[in-house]
Amino acid sequence: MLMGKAGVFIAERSAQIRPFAPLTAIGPTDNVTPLSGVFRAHIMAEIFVVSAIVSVVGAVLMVARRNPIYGLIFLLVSFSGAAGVFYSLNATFIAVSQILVYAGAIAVLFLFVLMFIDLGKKGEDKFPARVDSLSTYEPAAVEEGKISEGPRFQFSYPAAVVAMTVFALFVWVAASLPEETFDKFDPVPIHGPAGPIREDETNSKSSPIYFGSTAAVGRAIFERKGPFESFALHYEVVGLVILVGVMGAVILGKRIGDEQREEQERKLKAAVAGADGHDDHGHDHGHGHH
Amino acid sequence: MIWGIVKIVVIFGLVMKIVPLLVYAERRISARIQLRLGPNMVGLPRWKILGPLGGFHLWGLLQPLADAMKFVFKENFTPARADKFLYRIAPAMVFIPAGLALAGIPFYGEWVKDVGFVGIKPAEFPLIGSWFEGVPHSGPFVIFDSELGVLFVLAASTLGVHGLSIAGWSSYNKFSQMAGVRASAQLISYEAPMFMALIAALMVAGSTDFFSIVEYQNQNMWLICYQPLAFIIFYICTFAETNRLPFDLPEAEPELVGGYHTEYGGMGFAIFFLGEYIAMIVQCAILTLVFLGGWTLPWSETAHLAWGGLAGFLIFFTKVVILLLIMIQVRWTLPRFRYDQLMQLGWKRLAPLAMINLAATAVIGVMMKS
Repeated sequence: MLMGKAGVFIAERSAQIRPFAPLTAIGPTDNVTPLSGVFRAHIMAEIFVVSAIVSVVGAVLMVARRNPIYGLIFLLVSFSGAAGVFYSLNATFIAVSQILVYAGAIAVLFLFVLMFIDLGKKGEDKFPARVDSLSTYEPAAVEEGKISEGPRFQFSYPAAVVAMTVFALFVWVAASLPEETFDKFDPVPIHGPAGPIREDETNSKSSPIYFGSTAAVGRAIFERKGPFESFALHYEVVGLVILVGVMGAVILGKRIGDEQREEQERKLKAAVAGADGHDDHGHDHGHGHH
Repeated sequence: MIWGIVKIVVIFGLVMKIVPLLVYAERRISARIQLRLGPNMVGLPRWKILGPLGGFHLWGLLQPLADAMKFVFKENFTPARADKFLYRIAPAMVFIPAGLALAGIPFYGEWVKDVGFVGIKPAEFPLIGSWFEGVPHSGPFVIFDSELGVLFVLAASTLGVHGLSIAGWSSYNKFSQMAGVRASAQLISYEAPMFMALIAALMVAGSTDFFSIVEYQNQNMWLICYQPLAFIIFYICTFAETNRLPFDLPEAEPELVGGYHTEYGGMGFAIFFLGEYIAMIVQCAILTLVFLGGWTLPWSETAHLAWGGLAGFLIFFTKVVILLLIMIQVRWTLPRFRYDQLMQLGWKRLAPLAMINLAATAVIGVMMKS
C-alpha cells in the first residue's frame, strides 16, 4: 500500500555496491553511476591538494617538534592527510586502512610509550632543542642527560645532496607525466577481456568494480581465477616478514632484559654478600666485592 | 548539497538530544537497581503562567538541562603545570572522532525526487505539497555514504583513544597519566578481537557496506544466527572500547580519582562525557546494523517500508536503545575487572576465540562455495 515505487527502489538499490556514493546521481530507474565530470573532479582535486599540503606540513612539523607528544600529534595529522590523498585518488580501501592501521593502532603504540615521558617542570629542558642528525648522536650524552646541550644541528653535505637528488627526481617524474593525468579523478573501472568486470557477473547492469575499491583490493589479493592477478603469495610473504620482525624485537628485548636482570642480581648479591661479610662497614665496602 | 546540510543537522541534532535522555535513563535505572530514587524532582518551575502544571516534577526529566547549565557556568580549570594546548584540545580529540563515526551510520529513509519521503507523496498534502516539487534526491539518510561503510565508522571511532591518552598525559597528574596509559593499552588490546569478530560477520554478508549487509540479513536470517560468537565478542569489546564497566579501568574512581578527566571540570568534562555516550550509540548502531538486521524485522521483508519509511527508522532505533539499556544494566550489575584480568580476557580468551571463529567461518565458507 504505502510501499509504492520508492520502496521497491530502495530494496533494489540496497543490494548494490555504491562506490563513491556521496557524489553519485541516482534516479529511480537509473543504475548507480558515479557522477563523473567537472564537478566531481573539481571536488576530488581540492581534497587532493588540501590533503597533500596537510600531510607534508604535518610530516615536517612532526620532525621539527621538540616535544615527542606534539610529534605524535603531527604524525596523526600527516596520516590523516595521506588518507585524504588516497581517498581523492579513489583508493578508498587504502585510505581507510591508513587511518585504521597507522593512526588507530600503530600511533597508539607510540603513544603508549610516550605516556611514560615526564613533562618536566616549567621551563625545564627535557627534550633536545633540535633534532640531532644521526652522525652526531651520542648514546653517552643521552645517559648523562646532556642531549640538549650537545651539537644542535649539523649540516651534512652528503645528506643534502641525496635529499635534493631525490626531490629533483620526484619533480622530474611529476613534470614528465602527461598533463591530462592531473584532471583524472574519476574512478576507473577494471577491465577484463570482455569489458568492465562487474560486481554480479551475470547481470550486465550491476555496478562495475572500480580500481582501488574494497572489492578490487580483496579480489586482487585472494582471487586466483579470472581477470585478477593473484597476490596471495606476496601477501603471505609480507605477513611472514612482519612476523619475523616482531619475533626479532621480542628476542632482542628479552636478551637485553635478561642481561640487565643478571647485572642487577649480581649487584644485589654483591651488596648482600658485602652486608653479610662486614656487618658494621657494609655501607663503605659493599660495592667493592664481586 | 542542501541535503548534506539537512542530514548533518538532523542526525547530529537527534543524537545530541538522545545523549541527555540516555544520561537521565542511566541515572534513573542505576537508582532503581540500587534501591534509590534518582533524579526525580527537577521539573517545571512554579510559575503562575504554567497554571496547574507549575511545579510539576516531570519525573525529573529536566535534570539533564540543569546539569548542562551547571557545566556551562562552571570554571574551566587548568592545572598550572599542564601542557595548556594539549589539555584544551584533548576533549575535542575524543568528541570529533565520535562525531565523525556517526557520519557513517545510516539512519533509514530517503527522499526520492517527485516521489517523496519513501512512501509519503508530497502531493497528498495540499498546503505544503507544492513546496517540495522538484526537491532533488536526498540519497540514503547517512551523512558520509560510501562503500566502506562499517570500515569508515570503525576507523573514525578508533581515533578517540588518542584524546583519552593525551588528556591523561597533559594534565600533569599521576592519576590522569596512569589512566592515559591504561586507556591506550586497553583500547588497542580490545580492537584486535573486535575486528576479527567483525570480519567473520562481514565474510558471511560479503560486503562492508551497511546497506548491503542489512539487505543480506533481510533476505536471509540475521547475522547473529550465523555468527553468535562474533556478536558476543563484539558486544564485550564494545564495553571495553567505550570505557564502560566492567572495563572502565581508565576512569576507575576508587583507584584513579576520576581517571583521565580528573582535572577537567565544566564543559571540558561535559565534552568527554558527550564523546563517550556518542561512541556508545555508534557502537550499538554498528551492532544493530551488522548483527541484528538493522531496520528490518525477521518475519517481514517489507515491514520497514511502512509509514513512509518511518517504521524502518523506529525499528532501527528501538534495537539501538535496547542494546544501550543492556549496557546500562551491565554497568550497574557487574564489578570492575582487575587490570591483569582485563588483559587476560582480551588477549587469552577473546582474541583466540575470535581467531578460531574467523578461521572456521572462512573454511565453512569455502566448503559451501565449492
